Amino acid sequence: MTNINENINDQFPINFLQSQEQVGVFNGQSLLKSWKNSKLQNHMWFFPFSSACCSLAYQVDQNLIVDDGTNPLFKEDISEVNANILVFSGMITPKLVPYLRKVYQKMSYPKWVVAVGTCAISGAPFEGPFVMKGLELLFPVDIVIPGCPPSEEGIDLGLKLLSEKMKKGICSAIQVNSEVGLKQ
Amino acid sequence: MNSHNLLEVIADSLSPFGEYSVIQSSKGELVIKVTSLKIEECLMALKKNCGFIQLVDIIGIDEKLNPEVQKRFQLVYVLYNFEEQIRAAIEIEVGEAEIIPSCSHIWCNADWAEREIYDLLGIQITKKNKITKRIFFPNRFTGHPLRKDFESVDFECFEDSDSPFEKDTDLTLEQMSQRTVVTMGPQQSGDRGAFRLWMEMEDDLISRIEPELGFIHRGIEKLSENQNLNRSIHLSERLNYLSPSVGSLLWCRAIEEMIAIDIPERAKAIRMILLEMSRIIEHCRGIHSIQRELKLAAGELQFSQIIKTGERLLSRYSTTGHFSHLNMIGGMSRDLPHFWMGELMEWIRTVERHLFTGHESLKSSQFWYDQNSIKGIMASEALEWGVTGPILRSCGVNFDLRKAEPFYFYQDVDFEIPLGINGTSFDIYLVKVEEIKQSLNILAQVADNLPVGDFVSQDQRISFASKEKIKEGDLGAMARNQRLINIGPTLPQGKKYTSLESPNGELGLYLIGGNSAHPLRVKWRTPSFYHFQPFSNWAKGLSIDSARVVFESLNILTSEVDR
Amino acid sequence: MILGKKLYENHGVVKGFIFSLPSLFNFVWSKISIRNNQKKIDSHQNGVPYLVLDEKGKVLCNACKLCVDICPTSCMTLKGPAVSEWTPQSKPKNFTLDLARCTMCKLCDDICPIDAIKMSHQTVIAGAADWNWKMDIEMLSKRPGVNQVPEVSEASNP
Repeated sequence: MTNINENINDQFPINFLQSQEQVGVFNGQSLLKSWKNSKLQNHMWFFPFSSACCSLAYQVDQNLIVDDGTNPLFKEDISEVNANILVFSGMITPKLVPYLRKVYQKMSYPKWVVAVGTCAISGAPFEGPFVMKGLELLFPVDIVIPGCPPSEEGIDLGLKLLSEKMKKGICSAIQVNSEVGLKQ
Repeated sequence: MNSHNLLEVIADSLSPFGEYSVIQSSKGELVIKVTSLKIEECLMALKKNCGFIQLVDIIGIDEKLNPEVQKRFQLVYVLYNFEEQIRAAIEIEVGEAEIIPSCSHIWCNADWAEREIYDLLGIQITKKNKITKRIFFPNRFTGHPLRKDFESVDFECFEDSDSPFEKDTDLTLEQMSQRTVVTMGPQQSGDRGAFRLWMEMEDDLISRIEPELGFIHRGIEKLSENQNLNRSIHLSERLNYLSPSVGSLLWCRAIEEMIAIDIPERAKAIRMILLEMSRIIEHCRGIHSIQRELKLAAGELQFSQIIKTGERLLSRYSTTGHFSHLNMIGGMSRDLPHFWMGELMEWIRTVERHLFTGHESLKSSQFWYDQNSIKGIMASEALEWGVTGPILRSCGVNFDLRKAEPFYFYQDVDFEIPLGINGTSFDIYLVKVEEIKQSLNILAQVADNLPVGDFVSQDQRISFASKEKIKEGDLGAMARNQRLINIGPTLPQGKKYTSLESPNGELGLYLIGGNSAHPLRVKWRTPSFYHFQPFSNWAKGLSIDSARVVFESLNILTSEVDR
Repeated sequence: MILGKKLYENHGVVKGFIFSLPSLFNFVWSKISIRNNQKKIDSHQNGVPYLVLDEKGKVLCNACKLCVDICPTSCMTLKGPAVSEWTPQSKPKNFTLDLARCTMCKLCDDICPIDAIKMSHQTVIAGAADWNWKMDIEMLSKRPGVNQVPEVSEASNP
């Protein structure tokens, strides 16, 4: 079998955002806003929630498991009030639903949601009455990283795409009279 | 005492309590059927006179679709005798509205097993005239999921639960007002899963603690009942996700023993290699997680390097990221790639080197010794609570399933079993390090004498036809493949309990077949379920940080507890 | 075997420091050697499946449905001729694969009798939730990695 992908750098050219600019909320940003949004790349505070196997992939990527002897052992936990981004990896069961809703309400606007793993997107291997068929049914999701479990480079790419999205100011959760609404 | 004498002793102790019948299989396992009027006395007599010290598992079965049976439910108690190394299964028939007395005053670890049976099946088991509480679903939930006529779960009716503590009548009002209730939420640090701990604190020390489960209940047992046998390999790997090849090994081995298929010798040796490699990797993960909890950097690089290089070697064989699909019914799904055995020998050398430096630097640290010597477990307590694996060996009990019930080539391989003294977390660490060295011995011996030949059996009942035959135009081979994929191999009639020595403890599987493609009942006996139960006793009187160290040393995974 | 009592002894602070000095030098050496073998992207892992084309440019698949039935997450759908009309020369009308449900387990590759579906090595996948993650025959028959970005389109579901 021939090795098809010899050049891994050619894989996903990052031009998908051109198709999303028509759908985005902050269309036609003023100079001030675009400058403010470009600084959001340095303010990515993650709130990781992991319930099962995909936690391994996320932790290795974020160096929560030591890779080459740097200092991440001493990373502190963030509470949900200060966080920007909810990174969810794992499956959704009926007992977790009220807890997730509380976490999402406590986070302040603007906020982004990342779904890691196939179980969070569609609940695929466990098709039955106990697992919810995706995180999309609860609240709007921004970035999706499939795989069982996804590779470390895949999570890297997904977070890079998220930072580009934050720079352009596109967010799928909007505030309509202080209630959560999906974009039209 | 021979087994012949054991049968006489059982007959003497059970005869005053009504009708019973004893059958002994060819391998020495006993099946005892008892009428349900005097269960407590029978079980007490079996424990005291006949030597069945440990309760392995309690299993509930719904037999609604079986037309020959009068009563709807059946309960099976699986017991183990350590002197003779004989396992006994005691079966009782229960009607739909009958109430059974609980046996938690005989064996302490029957509590959670009975709560699970009430939760999932609806059989009422009482203790001092109080109905047992549910364990996975909240108390307001109506319905029992494992029954054959269960429909669906409504996702909107679940709410956050209240404190599970009842009023303690021994204390005065003043003492009650000084206590506060604290929760540690479903999100835990590390890769332990999601559960909630309710703690009652008094001046920074824990007085009562109780866990809340059910956050990752996916219903693996219910899903395996409605599916092909081949498809459930996918589910059995996600039970213990840190060492996935152990779960699929047990599933395939149990089915092969029931159908009576002999797998080739090369497949047996490769399965042993996978089991020992998973043991080394999971022991290193356990030590690494305690280091991360204590924020101790000595020797941490070495243990994480063992984990990384081991996983990379396994993924080179299976070509997937983490969950390998290597075991299938009848053997392995693909052969070893070129030069993999050479890399395995190199890996053995690197593990020895890293283990030596990591162990030396950890052993000589006073902080590590002090933090891990807080709570010791006694051997009698461990046997009462159903603890198995390296924790039981650190208390001084000389028992290992690889020596007691050997399978494949474990009789021909030389290895020893390390024993500890006190049962503290430091003893568990020493036992794990010594077990890694013994596993390296086993790996080297198997790799030196690896058999040659087929890697999958060619039995007509389970094996897929090869691609060359279908390309020639053989429609019979195509039809055989289609039948095996859509319907699957058939399980003959019978009940069997098989078990393994997994890195955590004893992993067991109880299968009931009814001469059909779907099994009638699947029950997994996981070690983490029985290690989590006594944690509420062992953490009393400690501060939160010390309790966390004790918790990490028990190596509990919530996906095994909740299934 | 019973572990010796020597393992339970405490060395004390000074002796402990002396005994752990060699691991300090080993620490520095292994840091250097690890950096030389940094994580290389493993190019043998399973990625997104793709369909093989024959010499004329059409798909090799003859709609036998073995891969659809064996998939543990049932992520593929196939529209083809009925069971009574099936011949080894028939072709599928429509074939979709839902990437959001695929776990990349390689079972479809192992079972296909004519090697019409294969796994590429592209494991790096990420994107927005608005995209159309269901790939049809045209997308599946181009080899992923060359110019394959699933695009947003109105008429997504077949």
